[in-house]
Amino acid sequence: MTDAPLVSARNMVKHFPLPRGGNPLAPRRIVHAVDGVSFEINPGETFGLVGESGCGKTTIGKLLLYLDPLTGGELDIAGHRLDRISASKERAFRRDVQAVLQDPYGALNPRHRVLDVVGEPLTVHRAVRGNELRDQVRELLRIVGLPERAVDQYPHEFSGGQRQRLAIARAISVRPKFIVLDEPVSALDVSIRAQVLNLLRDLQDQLGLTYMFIAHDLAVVEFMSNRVAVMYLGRLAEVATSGQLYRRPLHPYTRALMRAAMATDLPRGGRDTVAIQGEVPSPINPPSGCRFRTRCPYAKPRCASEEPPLTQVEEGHAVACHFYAEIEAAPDQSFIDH
Amino acid sequence: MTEPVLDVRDLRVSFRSRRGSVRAVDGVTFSLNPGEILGIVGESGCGKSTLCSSLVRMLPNNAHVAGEIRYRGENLLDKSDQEMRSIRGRDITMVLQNPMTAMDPLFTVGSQFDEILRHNANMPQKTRRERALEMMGLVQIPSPAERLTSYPHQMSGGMKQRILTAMATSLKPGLLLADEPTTALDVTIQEQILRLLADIRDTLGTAIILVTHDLGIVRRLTDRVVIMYAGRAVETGETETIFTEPKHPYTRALLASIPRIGHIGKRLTAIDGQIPDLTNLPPGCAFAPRCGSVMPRCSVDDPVSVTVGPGRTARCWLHQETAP
Repeated sequence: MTDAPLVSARNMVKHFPLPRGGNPLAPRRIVHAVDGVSFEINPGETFGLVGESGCGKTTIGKLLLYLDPLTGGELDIAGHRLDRISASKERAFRRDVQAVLQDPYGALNPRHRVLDVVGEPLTVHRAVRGNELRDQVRELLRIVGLPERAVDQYPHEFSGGQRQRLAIARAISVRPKFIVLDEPVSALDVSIRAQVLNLLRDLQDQLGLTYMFIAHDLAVVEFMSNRVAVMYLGRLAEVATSGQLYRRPLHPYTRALMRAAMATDLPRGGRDTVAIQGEVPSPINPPSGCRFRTRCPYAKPRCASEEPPLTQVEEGHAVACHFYAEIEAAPDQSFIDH
Repeated sequence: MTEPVLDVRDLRVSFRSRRGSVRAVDGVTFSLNPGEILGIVGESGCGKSTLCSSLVRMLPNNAHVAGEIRYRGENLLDKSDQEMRSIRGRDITMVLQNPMTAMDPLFTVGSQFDEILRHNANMPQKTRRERALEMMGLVQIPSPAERLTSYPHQMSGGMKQRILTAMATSLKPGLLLADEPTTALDVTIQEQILRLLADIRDTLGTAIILVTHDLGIVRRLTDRVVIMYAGRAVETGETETIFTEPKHPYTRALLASIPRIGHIGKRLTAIDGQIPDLTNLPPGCAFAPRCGSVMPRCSVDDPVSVTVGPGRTARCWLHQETAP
């Protein structure tokens, strides 16, 4: 086993040009969905990606699944160079990389039996002979904790949590190396979420899977991931191990997310910090300099003129903020002081 | 002792359906003092939204409501439809989950705001406009006069939810029903709305019922909480004591099953099984099939709510013997 990362993204850019809206002379407006994002994911680890709607986290998921081509940058997943993959290689890539998405109702064809839904990747990749399919699907159902008789049932006969198990069974059917999990539990009820999260962890241990775990809920991401990237308006604000992020959240935005995520453990009124004002600006015209400065309670003139680079602070911990040290030192804003 | 704003006794809501009667709310009792925030928590299908709608009698025709809902001493179930209409929007108002569909896209915010005031209060037009501007300021809408001329599509979800909260509280209601008011919003915007609700309670003294599935929000904002499961209030009491010392096995299991910051590497204690179907409830306690502390009698007899401490109740056989 080598130490080479399984996923390596360098300066990924994804822009979506908008239609000119009838006026051919109007300048073309562009949505800057992902603007220069770099990270690496090591084999066997879970890399979490957290952020609010519109921050580009799902776009990154789609880039990693090759559902959208890159506008710029390089992306290497399990030996496949996605910025210049050939059509003949794409098939092999599709087998190595799978996805489990948010909506377990939309992900399964209601007219197909579980046998066909879960077995489809096996059939498409010609991974089984005809009569073995049924046994393989049964085995997959057993692995994800569903009864074997489910093989002849239809998706509507299952609850949300069970459907997500079906989607997971399908994703692992072709023994992928890497799975993108985009909000896999946010549509599920609280008591069912834990079942699915535990299942995903068990499968990772048993099958040696590597995950990218995308969600808006920092508590869930931190729980599931070895390392976490916090994303804001197309860029990474902070990257750290889960432990570092909990002990020492540095970016003002991470601090705000952390505060909301810790509410369950904090008595009312405890550790009141500065609230984040306003709303996420448009990715069509992102703010100059630091993209978070328009909402940052600590913003200074330098933040508007100069974009803070993602700088390493300690081993495995990087933050994109000019003033992280000053903010960390300010005692009245510190909420990791217990 | 102040008189409670709302006093709900043994509330039962059932729906007639082709598959028989479905009991969505089954014997729920609680009361709410002025300026208090009560959380109603549970998973989908537990009856929390039905309970909330039944308080203002906004249920479909096949619903049957029994028990007592006393608002400032008067039983709302005895009121005529006409009387209910004047209570809704003036004394008891609502903020709902989806701010995107709560406003009419064809009218400006100002005309929708004015309609609420015109319909529910006897105010001259100038006063109505002043009140609208005052409320928009209270919920921190920048340049409120311009915003009154905007259409709903020109605003973000967070801004709409703040304006809807302003509308709902513009006549200083005694009770605000907030049904998942932040579920459709992002984390930082959610934080802003929660602060706003706390401010409204502090400045206007409005009592608030907050319906949600998010335990973090409950702990941040509420004074007391009703935990619901399959239409039953399984545990009620002060929020802090319920979070630090849960009595009902469902509450305990729910708290153990959510990922916590800083608990890295630990396994979650999942609750096995599925949420029960209300048309086909198990005999006895509805939580028995998933309960870690299940006893033989749990799957035979349904427990009743008993007092388990000051201002606390639990509906569980574990606590029946210890009850006074």
